Amino acid sequence: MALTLRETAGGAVADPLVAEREWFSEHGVNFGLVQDGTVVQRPIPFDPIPRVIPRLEWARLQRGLLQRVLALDHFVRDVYDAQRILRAGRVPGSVVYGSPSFLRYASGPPARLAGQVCVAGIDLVRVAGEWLVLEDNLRVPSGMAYALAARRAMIDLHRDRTVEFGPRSLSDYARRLRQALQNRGPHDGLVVVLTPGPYNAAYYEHRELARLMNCRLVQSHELIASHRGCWLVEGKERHPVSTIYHRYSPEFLDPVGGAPNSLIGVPALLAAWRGGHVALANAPTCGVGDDKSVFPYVPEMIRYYLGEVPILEQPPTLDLSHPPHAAAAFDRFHDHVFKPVDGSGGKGIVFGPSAGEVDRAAVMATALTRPSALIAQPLLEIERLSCVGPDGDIEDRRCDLRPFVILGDDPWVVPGGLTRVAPDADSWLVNSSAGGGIKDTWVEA
Amino acid sequence: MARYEVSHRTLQRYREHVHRSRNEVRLKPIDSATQRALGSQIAVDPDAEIADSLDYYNNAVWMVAVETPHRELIIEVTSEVEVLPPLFEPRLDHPWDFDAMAFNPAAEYIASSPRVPRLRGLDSLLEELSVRAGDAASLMAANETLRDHFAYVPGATTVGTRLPEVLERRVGVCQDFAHVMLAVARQSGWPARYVSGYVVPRASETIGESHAWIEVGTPDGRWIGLDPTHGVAVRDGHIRVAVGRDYDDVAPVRGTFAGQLPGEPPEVSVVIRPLVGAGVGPATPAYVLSDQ
Repeated sequence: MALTLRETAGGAVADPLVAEREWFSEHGVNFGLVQDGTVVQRPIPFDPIPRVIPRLEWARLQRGLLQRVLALDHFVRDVYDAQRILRAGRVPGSVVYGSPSFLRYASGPPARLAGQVCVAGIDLVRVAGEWLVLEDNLRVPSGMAYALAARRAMIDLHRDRTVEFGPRSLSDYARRLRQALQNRGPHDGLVVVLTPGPYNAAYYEHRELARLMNCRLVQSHELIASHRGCWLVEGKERHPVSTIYHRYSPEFLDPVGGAPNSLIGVPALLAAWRGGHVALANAPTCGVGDDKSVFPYVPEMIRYYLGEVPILEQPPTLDLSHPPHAAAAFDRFHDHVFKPVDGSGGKGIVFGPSAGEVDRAAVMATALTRPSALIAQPLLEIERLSCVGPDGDIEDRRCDLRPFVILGDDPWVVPGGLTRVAPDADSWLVNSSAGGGIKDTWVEA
Repeated sequence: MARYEVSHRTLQRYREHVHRSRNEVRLKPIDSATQRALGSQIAVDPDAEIADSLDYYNNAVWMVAVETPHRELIIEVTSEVEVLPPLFEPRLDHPWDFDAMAFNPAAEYIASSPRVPRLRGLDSLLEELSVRAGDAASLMAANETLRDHFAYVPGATTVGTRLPEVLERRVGVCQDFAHVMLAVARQSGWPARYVSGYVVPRASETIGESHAWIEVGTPDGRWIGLDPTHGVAVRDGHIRVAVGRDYDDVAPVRGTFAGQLPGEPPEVSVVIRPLVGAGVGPATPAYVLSDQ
């Protein structure tokens, strides 16, 4: 792949990705990083060598993703209803009942409808040529706006290459999302995007999706709710809201039903939702489906609800509250990765090989006092893709892929998704909040 | 059989005019094996929009939405309840088979919950109370003797007091006693849930208060009421209002308001009047509670 290197007079290499950086900065494609307790917005690092996925490989992924998300949607509504899968003994009750993400105040008639999940983001990695699912994101799956930006950047900066390859288009995303949102709510009323505000790391995405869907971007103080509905307040006027695409962790949506000391959120929003007056996407029920302690049971959900064989594999997960599992994980500490069950963004993850004594002691202490707070997975040598390094040379970095699935009348898997890139050749973490970057994902047409 | 009229009044004062408020109210007794709910009415001042629904635990919930500026909010619930004689002796005997519990709905109530976390000190508390895992008699005995280990001191704690503090200070009110007993029951292998409600007063009294106790699930699907505050098993002296994993699931009035200043602590008054209805004999106290 030809890349222009810009050398300075002294022979030292200047920033080889200056054009990319400028493009992302100009377009405000930021992701916030926490520095000294405040969020600093900076352009997300972008690598111009796209990930390429062959047609047939994608066709299989697409089927596997759809199957997985449909099963998860069944699971979410079942555990807020008859809990058949628990009674049948296919998922232990303790896994659901002990999950802090099982929000009992989010039960009610709308919790029993198909389509609890509106958008899902499923994290995949390739290991020895085989795709594996590492994580399901159902509560606030984010990243699609970054994937759209990556495509636009490729078209602007590397037009010839992009046109020549002709990857499958992503441009239908906003229309399909808007349609799925609109179909979930009552006929009259606004579709709005609810953001926690500019201090949120992914604020760029919230603004961008609202812009692309041609709907209002609002914050919680602009909304009023009761069991009769939800309204957007503008001066003396109140406009009914039919669907909220929220970018909140669900426990913070409503301080009456949820976190009682929450300063954000819309009081009685869940009462409005329960009465069928406003749709929430994703539904506030969804967190239980992407809890890391529920993750090991997703293949079982596929067998139970759909009667199908899981298409996508996932690595075994060790439950540290189960003594033989804990022994297996600690006997071969260096071969495992330890993840907090309730974490996101790579927070609190400890990688066996790179763990210091302090990390190791902390993991052991947590495993002793709160064993169900951690899971362990075998450390996988995940696929590295070619990236442009700081000196302009090609280096291989670990990458994952987060494809997105929209559930609605016509379920749709976005062709491609967001490829996340580790910040350097040694790093294990690809999370944007850990300094990771992105690259475009080209699915062969 | 005895009928009662329960009137539960909550006065919430604010330090300023608040633009609007939203509260969830869990004060409506519902039918259960131990009682018949004969009807409840809710009155709110100022005028409010009110809707009822059932929550995850099948508790009755009123959503109370006030849209006009107000400095105080009065929520008064009046209910009639008939307390039924016990269907079975409130006693625990057969312990749970853990493999069977995994798939039983009761498993919900053995997991830790927000207000009753698994704490390291619990095993020593079990030891102190001579409670052995899966031993029904020792748990029943602990329910009677918890009062010897913890002091009932009104006002010593608040609705927000956490379990570690109660275990440390060894004081509390019925809510704290219930949380301690939940922790003891769950730690020793029994599913247990929190119950909010009232204790029926003696014949000569009408002033009452909210109360809380626990119910322990048995493998044959019964729930046995244990009231550690009074050191008794529940027969027919209790009126049930709501159940959940702990206090946070059944808080009688919980909500928020649009304003800047924190609200005052709510003032609550409860009056429980025995009713003499047609076909029902003179109400007598179901049993006399020992003095606190």
